[in-house]
Parts: sequence; C-alpha cells; structure tokens
Amino acid sequence: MTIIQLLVNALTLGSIYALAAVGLVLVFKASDLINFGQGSLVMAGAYVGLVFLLSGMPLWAVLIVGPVAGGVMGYLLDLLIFRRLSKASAWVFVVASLGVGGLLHELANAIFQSNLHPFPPLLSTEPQQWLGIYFTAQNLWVPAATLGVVACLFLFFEYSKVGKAMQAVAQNRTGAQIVGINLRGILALTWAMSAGISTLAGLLVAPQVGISPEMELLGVKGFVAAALGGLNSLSGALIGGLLVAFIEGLTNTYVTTAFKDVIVFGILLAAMWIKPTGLFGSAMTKRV
Amino acid sequence: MKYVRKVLNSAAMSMATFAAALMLVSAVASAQGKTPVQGVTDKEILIAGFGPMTGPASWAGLGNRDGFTLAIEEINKAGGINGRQIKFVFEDDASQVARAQTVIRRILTEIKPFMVFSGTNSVVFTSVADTLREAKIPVYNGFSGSVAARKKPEAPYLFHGQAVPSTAYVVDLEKLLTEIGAKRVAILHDLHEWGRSLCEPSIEMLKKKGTPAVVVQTYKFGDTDFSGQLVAIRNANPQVVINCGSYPEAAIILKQAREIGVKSLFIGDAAQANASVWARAGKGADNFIFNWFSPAFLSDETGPMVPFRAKYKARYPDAPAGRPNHGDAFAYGDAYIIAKALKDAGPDLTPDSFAAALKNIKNFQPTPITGFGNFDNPGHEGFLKSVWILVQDGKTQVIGAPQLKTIAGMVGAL
Repeated sequence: MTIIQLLVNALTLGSIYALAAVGLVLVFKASDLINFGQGSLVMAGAYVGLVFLLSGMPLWAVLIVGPVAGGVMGYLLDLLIFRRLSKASAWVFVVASLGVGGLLHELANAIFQSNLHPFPPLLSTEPQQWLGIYFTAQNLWVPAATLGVVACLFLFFEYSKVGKAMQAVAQNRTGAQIVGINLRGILALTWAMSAGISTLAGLLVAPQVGISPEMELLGVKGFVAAALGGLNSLSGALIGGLLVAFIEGLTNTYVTTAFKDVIVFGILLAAMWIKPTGLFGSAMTKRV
Repeated sequence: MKYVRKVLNSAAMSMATFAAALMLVSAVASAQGKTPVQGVTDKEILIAGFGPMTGPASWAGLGNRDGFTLAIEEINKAGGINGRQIKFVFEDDASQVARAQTVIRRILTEIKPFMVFSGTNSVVFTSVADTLREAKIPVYNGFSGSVAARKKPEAPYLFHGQAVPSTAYVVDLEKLLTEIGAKRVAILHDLHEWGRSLCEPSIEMLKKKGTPAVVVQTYKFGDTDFSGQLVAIRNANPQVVINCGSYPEAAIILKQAREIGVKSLFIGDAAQANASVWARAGKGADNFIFNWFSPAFLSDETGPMVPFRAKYKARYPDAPAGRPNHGDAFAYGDAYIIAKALKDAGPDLTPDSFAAALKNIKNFQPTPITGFGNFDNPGHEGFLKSVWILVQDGKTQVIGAPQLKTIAGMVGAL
C-alpha cells in the first residue's frame, strides 16, 4: 500500500519534472544543444502567470494565457540571443544558456525580491480516499494535463507538417534548409514551445511550492529526468520525470532525505553507463 | 607718549598672542583626551546588519532588514539617540557560510560600524559567531536560536535577542506534551542547523521521558515535496508530529499531510509562525500549534499587532503575503532594545558603555508587540520565555487551560 501511495504522489511531482524535461528535449531535438537555463524558464514562466493573476485575470485564464505569454518569452530569447549564436560552438551556447538563466533569476530577484508568493490551485485539494490510497483532484489534474501536453506533442511531431519539419531540422539542418524548411522559423517555434511548456510546469507546481526565484531548481530535476529518459525522447522525458519523483519518494520514506539526491544522481550515472542515450533515447547517427 | 603707546601695544599683542596660543594648546589637549570610537561621529551611529536577502532563506534576511529599518526610521524621526542619527546598512549573506565569511570581513574591515546586528539564520550565525566575538565590537544576534552559537559566559560584547534558544523550546515542548497526554510522537525536522538544534534535543527528551519517537524523518531546507516522509509518518500512526524547520516548508508539509491522510496533531516552532502557513495549508493547518515569544501574534485582529501591521504596510506597500513575518517583528523590537541601550550609554558612547547599558536592561518591553527583555544573565540572552499558539480556521489563539483540555481530548482520540 505504501508503494502505491508513493506512486500516486510521484505522479504529480513527476509530471512537473516531466514537463521541465520535455522543454529541454524540444530544444535538444531541434538544436542538438542542452539549455542549461531551462529551470529559469520554469521560474520566469511562473512569474509571468503571477503577474496575470495579480492583475485580476481568473485562474483558469492564467493557465491558458500564461503558457502563451511564456511562449512569447521563449521566442524573444531566441530572437535576441540564441539566434545570434546559431553559428557559434556548443560551448558558447552553454555559456549563453547559463547566462540567460542567471539573468532571469536576478531579474526575478530585483523585481519581486526573494519573497515567496502563494498561488492558488485550480482544483480542490480536499483529500479523497480509495482503498486506503489518498489523492486529491489536483493530484489527478496535473498528471492529466501533462499527459495531454505530451500526447499533443506526439501527434504534432507525427502528423503535422511543422512537426515533421522540426524533426528534419533536428536530424540535419543543412538538409532541412536545402529542401526549403525555414530554419529560423522552426528554431523560434521550438524555443516558444519549450518556454511555453516550462511556463505550464511552473504554474502547475506553484500551488504546492509557491512562486520564488528558487523554483528554477526544478530545472535540475528536469535535466535529470530528460537525461534518464533520453534527451531526444518525449516519452522518455515523461517516464524519466515519473521515475525521478518515485525514486525520491522511496528514498525519503525508506532511507533518508540526506541521500535522496545521491541516489537519484547515482541511478542516473548507472543508467548512462548502461545506456548512454537514456532509457528511451535513440542513438543519433550522422552521415559522414 | 608715543613710546608708552608703543610699549602698551606691544604688551597687548604679546598677551593676545599668549592667549591664542593657550587656547590652541588647550584645544589640542582636549582633542587628544577623546579617542574616536569606530562607527560613531557627532552626528551618526553606524550599525551594520547581515542576513540572507537571496536564496531559500531570504524571507529571514529581508524580514530582519525591513523590521529593523522601520524601527530605525521611527527612532531617527523622533530625534535619534543623544543627538545622533542611526545609519543602518544591511549585507546579503545568501544563507551561505562561505559568503557570510566574506560579508563579515567586509563589515569589519571596510564598513567599520559601531556594532553589528545579525539577522541571519542559525547555520550561518554559528559559523561566524567566533569571528564576531573576536571583533571586539558589540554584536546583537537577533535571529539565531541555536545553542551551538552561544556560550556561557558569553563574550563581553555579544548579546542574543528575541531568538529564544532551542533549549528553552525543548523544556516548553516537554511540558506541553505532558499536558496534552501525547505518548506516540513522531519527529520531522530539516537538516539545517535550526531544525536539528530543536529536534535532536527533542528526540533525547522523548527517550528520557520513556516515550521514544515512533519515527524520525528529515528533509532538506528548501525541499518542496514531503510525501515520502509523510507516508512513513502516516504508517507509524503518531498522535503528534513535532516538525522543526521553517515556515515555507511547514506550509507544504501541513498541506500535504492532510492530502495524504496524516491525522496527527502538528507542533512546530517559532520559525513557522507565519500567517502564510495557514493561508497556504488551508484546513491542513487546523489545530497546528507553534511557539511564539511575545504576547501579540502577527495575525492578531485586535491589539498592538494591528497598528504595527498598518505602519508596516504603509512603509512597505509592495510586501507580499506573509509579511510582516517573525523576522520583521523580532527585528523591530530588537532595534528598540538596541536604541534604549545606546541612549542609556550616554553621549560618550563606547562598546563598554553600550554593553553595560544592555546588561542593565531588566524586564523591559521595547514595543507593544515585543516580550520583556532581560539581558542580565551569563549568556546575555534577552528572551527565554515563549507561549504556545493554536491555529483554527485560519485564526490564532494563545493556548491556555481550556485549549489544553480540548487538545488533550483530540490527542486522546487519535
């Protein structure tokens, strides 16, 4: 029963990790680069939602408009910063992504200070019980929303022209350009989608943790989830997120919190050793 | 006649020259008799504070800075201290030990204040306490209750304000547990210095009492999910859970505990004394108990906290929910204690005169929202008493005999 309860609890937190991981995977799939500022997009997106909420927008509208605004933020980051680095080395991109992360963090500190801002849940947090397992409506809605996002992305990549164009860019930029795919447009869309999804992650976790600049630490767990699941796999990001949350819960219950991150990172390293592309990632081949 | 006039003029000149020289020598001698005191001028007394303004503990530093500043502005507006205005500067240690060392070095070597006010948390203050003792300037610890940072007898210039030592918490906790008849007690604490300084002695206390903790769980400062720990606690079925840690985590713990079906009564500490806890935890905070150090609580709807909150909001209109917090309230009161000692030390202010004046403070209530301070003890600990406060339906009340009876009934039914 304890294990099932831990699994149920892991669904909510794991979904947040999964969304953060999905944002990372999107950027990686399109650009072959890891955005080390992904956690800051989660945090900044949450603040964007907070501003809408404090301006009087109803919560349900914030959850729709917020990710869209987050997407605009992602588009602007690409337009102003990352697009200009498209020909630079991977190392330059890493430094830039860290810089963007730092900039967003300090901007949040400067505008909102480090105060913790509460954020209301969309659905009831009244506990329900079924066969001795406790859950709330909020516990169910967050994983459902995450699953919906991942399903939409799957359909988008499988069946839409733009989705296939994004996959083409991820596989071979030059080849994609040759066949007439608008590379800049695709990368801009990728950043917008990544930031929009990260915003949604921030808004879904905010009722539990409140909004503060420290939210960006969720990005670390998102990275672990993406690496564990496979940096080029959306389903891997989902499973990776749930796995990380479940391992954390098990460690907290049966071992000790002091070792929680040790065990999570240990399992990550073990998984990398056994399968470097992640549990669900595929090896990327390039024609030479 | 001309000759006489010449002689008289010459004598007058000599006398004037002599008088001027005498006055000059006298001025030099008198100046040399007064040794300048660091951080004190004719117009100003410089106080340097430090605490976390960024990072997960920023609520502590920002609260201490803002509460202290509010008081200083009032004091300065009322004329200052013995003709001097107080200048207050506050440095950010981000709740990091390494950064705090740099901050302290900067305060002592560059800022050079008359005294230091610590608005930082226990782990940082413990790491810099000895450096501050050696600095030989007055230091006032406003926020850390950890006994690891305290000595008896305490250094001549180090004083501890409203942060009641953790040992006093354990004594009060044992009494409360006996009064409510709690026998199955779980412990949940953060791994930071504050949480450990309260709960580790509490674990020993429970063992000596013959009711060892049914389960001990821990969490990290800044954690945002406690479901694993709460499931383990639920499985152990305690009547009471003692949670030692800070209020951002306490809010999530209480909320999640209810969602996961933990039915136990939660007892916290003064670091969880914040209305945002019950605002965020909702019904999860019903029957939550914590301790507090003054007769007035932050969210009281009547009494001296009402005008305090009004002037706080007027001064800080953009303060978010949960502010003023206990850092604000403590620092506000501590600033007035410091001001009294500065005043009593007189215009010839020195570290010795200040320390003597502070030690002379007995049963002094600096503001209506503060308890009574007594610094005349070997540990220089100004505040040693606390009360327990119960939260019900988002409202707080001091626990007296009727509430104890009700709580004992609830505990007995678990």
